[in-house]
Amino acid sequence: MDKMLLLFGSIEVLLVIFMQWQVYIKKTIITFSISSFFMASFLLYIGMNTKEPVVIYVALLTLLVRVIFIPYFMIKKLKKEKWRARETQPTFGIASSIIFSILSAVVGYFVYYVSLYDDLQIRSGAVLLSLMFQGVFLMISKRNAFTQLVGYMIMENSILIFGTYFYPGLSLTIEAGVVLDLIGVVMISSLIGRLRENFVPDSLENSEELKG
Amino acid sequence: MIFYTLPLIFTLVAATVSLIKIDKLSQYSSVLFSILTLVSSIAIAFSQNFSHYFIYIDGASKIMLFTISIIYMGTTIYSISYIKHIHNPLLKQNFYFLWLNLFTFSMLFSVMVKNLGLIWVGIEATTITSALLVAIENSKESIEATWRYIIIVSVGLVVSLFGNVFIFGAGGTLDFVKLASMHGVNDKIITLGILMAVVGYGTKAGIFPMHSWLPDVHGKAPSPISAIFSGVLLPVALFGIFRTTEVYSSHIVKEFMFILGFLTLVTAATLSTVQKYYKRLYAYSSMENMGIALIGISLGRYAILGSVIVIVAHAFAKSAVFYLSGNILIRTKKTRIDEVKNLFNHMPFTAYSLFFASLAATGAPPFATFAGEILIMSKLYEVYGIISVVVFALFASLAFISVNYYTGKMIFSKEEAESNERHMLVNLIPAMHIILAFLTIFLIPKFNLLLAGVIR
Repeated sequence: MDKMLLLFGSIEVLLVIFMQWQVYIKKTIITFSISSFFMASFLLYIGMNTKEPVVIYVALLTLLVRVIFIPYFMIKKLKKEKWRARETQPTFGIASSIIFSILSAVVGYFVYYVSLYDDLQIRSGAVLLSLMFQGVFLMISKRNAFTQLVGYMIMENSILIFGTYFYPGLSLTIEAGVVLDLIGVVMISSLIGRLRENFVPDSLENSEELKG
Repeated sequence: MIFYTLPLIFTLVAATVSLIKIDKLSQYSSVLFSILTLVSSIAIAFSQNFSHYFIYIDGASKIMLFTISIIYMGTTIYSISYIKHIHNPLLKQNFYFLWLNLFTFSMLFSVMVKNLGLIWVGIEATTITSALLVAIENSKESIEATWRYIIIVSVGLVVSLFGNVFIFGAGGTLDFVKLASMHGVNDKIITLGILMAVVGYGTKAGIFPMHSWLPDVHGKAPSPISAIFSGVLLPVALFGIFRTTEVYSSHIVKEFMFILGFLTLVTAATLSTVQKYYKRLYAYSSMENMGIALIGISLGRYAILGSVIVIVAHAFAKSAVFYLSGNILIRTKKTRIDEVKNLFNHMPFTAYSLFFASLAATGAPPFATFAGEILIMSKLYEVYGIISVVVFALFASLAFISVNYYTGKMIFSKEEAESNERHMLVNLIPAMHIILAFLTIFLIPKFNLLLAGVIR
């Protein structure tokens, strides 16, 4: 199981690096869907092995929500507003984004070994912390609302795998997190994000009422 | 069981009625159910502690239920008059009340459950239910502030979710009653989990260094929403920290909270000296109070009582401050401190009320915030010595002086003006809250009784 976690976790890390250099939002969303598909497959694998029905249920919920519904919802929004389909003002350039994304994965790896490895004794756990750090960096490095949302959901994906893999009994909270993502962070954020991008970004930079 | 869930039921019923697209119906039903919520919360406060399935009501829950209910009622009544002045609102009026009721439901839920996972769910739900309320003015600044709020707070809450995973890993449960009585848990893992929870919930409470959303949201949200945010949302997040840290006593966690609380106090006090916009100024004052409350929680024992007094009195005083800020904004259409002049003649009732509300919120005697701060300082002296008390007092005084100086400037600076204040019944809400901020001092013995057995 440890090797499987390493395999799936590494795929997730690579997919985030791929998202990092994408300028087309649609590709980022599809990559997120693929990444969530690998995650759901891994959860299903854990559920089959441990024979925990709750984990199988969470895997199916993940498949439904993160692989199908959220990407579908986001792409549908994009189709209405094609001008929003590109990341126009990233905080970092593409080359530096990739380097920082890899660096954040390395930082996650070391943080895991310094803080948690002695207690958990599972080497592949480091991959999940790396994934979390990469999610944070994806949010920081992009300004598009949907890409930031994808970064946020990558962070949650890493917790979902971490929690389910190490502590399968914790499914209730994680499940609640998935449902809250569905109704809240994605749908309401999409609405706010859409309104936000209707304003000229430069005028927001100069807004004195949001400084100090 | 049903009796103890009445506050939840009333807010849910109010939310359901608000689905009907009749503005008056949503307004009056929200007011009616907010009164019923307050009555049921008071009844619960005088009942025995209760624990059944996921519901858990102890002294700390009772105090929070009471405070949330009062601010909810005040905000609902004040919203009716305020919302008329929002041009081009993002939501229709009934949806405004729908989200306000759901937002209150999620806060009440967060303080009534005994599972750390469910507390997390409740606090995460407050973000979702309040986001559109912040954005209701539909201006570019309010939308940007809402976006920052969602992103920063959600990321913070992901960190606390990770914290919950570790706490579960260490104890095998998230029931804080069971966790608190457990022995032999993995010290390193549970400490790490609690630290992450403190950072996560601290983000929502406006604790340094994840506080940056707070002045933006308080500054750009409509005044009744700023009032309920400052009055009870920040304390609900602190309540999450309180519940989480009570499960396991660790010096590292206490020192970590103390440092964060102190840095919050220092940052907020310093930044409040350079504010140009009055609502942002009051937002930094709220941040300062949350820093002080966190210091009290970190010190334990009677300093926790001090924190509770600060939280309750601050809730009343600061909500009054924000309602009155709303009055100023509606009448003058000005947001900058230097543009608001001679309120004393211009809006005498608002000016008097703001003067006292500002004093109450910043810890002036005889208001209860002062008593709370004294309790925290005496414990601070006992634990860290005189120098820490001097530094604490220095920054608390800095915040006190800057907030009251700017408030005084708006009230007393000279400019020819005639009174154009509208004498409305709704103006009694801030006045009532100021009186409550004073009367809280008489509730200290009751709080002490309620907290017996909760504080370890």
